[in-house]
Amino acid sequence: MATRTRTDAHTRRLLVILAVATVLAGATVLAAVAASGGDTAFQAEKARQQNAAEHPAAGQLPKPDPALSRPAEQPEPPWPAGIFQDREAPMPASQFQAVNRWQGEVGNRRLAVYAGYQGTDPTRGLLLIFSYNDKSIDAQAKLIERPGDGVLRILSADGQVLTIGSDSGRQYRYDAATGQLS
Amino acid sequence: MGRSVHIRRAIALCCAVLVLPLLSVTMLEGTAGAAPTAPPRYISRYMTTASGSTLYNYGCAQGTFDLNRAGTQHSTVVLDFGAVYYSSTRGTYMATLFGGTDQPLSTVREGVKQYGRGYWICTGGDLSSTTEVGMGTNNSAGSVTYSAGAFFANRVDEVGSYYATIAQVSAAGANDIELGWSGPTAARNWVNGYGSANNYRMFNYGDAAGCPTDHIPSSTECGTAAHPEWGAEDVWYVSWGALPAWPVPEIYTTSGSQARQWKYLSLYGYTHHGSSMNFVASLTQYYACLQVGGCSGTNNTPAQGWSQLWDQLNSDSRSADTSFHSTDIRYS
Repeated sequence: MATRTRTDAHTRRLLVILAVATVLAGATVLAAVAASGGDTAFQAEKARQQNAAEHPAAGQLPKPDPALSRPAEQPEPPWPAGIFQDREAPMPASQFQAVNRWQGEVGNRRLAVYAGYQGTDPTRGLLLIFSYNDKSIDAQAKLIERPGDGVLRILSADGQVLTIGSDSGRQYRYDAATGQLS
Repeated sequence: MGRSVHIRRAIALCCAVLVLPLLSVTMLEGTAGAAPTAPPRYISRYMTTASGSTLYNYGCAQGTFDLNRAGTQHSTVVLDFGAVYYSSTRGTYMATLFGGTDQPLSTVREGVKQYGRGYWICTGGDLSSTTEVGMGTNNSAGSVTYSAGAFFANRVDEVGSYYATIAQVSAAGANDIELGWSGPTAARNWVNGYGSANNYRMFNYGDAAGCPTDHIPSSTECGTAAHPEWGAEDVWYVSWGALPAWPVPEIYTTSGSQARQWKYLSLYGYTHHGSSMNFVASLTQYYACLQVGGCSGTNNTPAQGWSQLWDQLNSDSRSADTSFHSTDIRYS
């Protein structure tokens, strides 16, 4: 009798443990399902945006002849000239961090020379040079690296010749007309 | 005897209930096959001009490209006009155009309209192909603020209203939000401002610097030496968690590290917010790298970048995403 009672108690304990485990597993499944569904209003708005992007509204205008539709060309505004102390550059921050830049015109090309350093390694000084045509397009670009020199910055400009200093104390001359760094 | 059968059945049932969820979690990983062929890459641009005729020509070139391809094309492009700042002398917000002459956003808006018009006209007899044009800025300088975001959204709305009078083109805002350029508070404010006024979605075409490449991040992981305060929660928010935000992530690194970062950010969204990310496109800089004479380790081709992201996202069913585009940025 005592043995049977012990067996019953053991069985009941086992069943309780299994029941608790089952409930926990069920809750896990429900949580996963809820997570995959996410917030309904949020998902609905995202779906609306995607649908709008993929199915642009269509106006009633007939397509014009391409040959007759190009807008008249306007002259580009003058190219800004001088040394600018802003840190923006057209390159990812992880690759290039600008310190400052020089701009000017050389012949019929518009130039921008950015001085700075490699984004994840400030010991690697960099110059990033762009040249554009008189419409500010047709970009030609060049990246010059000075490993170990530290951050580069443009100190002064004498016409098209720039004086560039580095954190290591070195000075360079960059001739924007020839593209030579010395 | 009968009791022991009953107990065994109960145990078997419970075991099945316990094991099934484990099986389903196991099946989440490693279900995808090899990435399919990458879609064609479309050209995004760093802009040094907002000239309507130049932008028309760029849109026309893309339209002609689609016209000459068999079938219907769908694409995503970003036109990056640089940082935006408020000019008290002009009384309005200006775009820096990466060294070009600063221009009011109203001028940028007119240029972006012309891009879409060029696309629409030059697709000619192709009446089905579409493109989504992101008018882009960044968080590197200027006014990375709530007001600037709202102002920017209004200009994008005006572009979108114009596009609705033609066809085949939709508008989007876009921000190259990089974790080395500003802290998360400014970026969130800009996105919230955009979301206060937008009719069109917004791409985050930035990076996830410092985010882990091998595990789902905690909410505070990510960030750079300049801005270590970024966390995964912030990157998720400005890329997907905010209602207008959609990711067009930089997948530049040939090692695949950036693709892995975005997979785990998407899984962060799934596990913390119940919503993984839907990607609009992968962004590479292959052509820009060619233009500067090469980039070491960050010059994925468009197909490589797209495939890396596809492989990572689809290696786990919780982050699976098979329908995003490919765009490659260059200097104009």
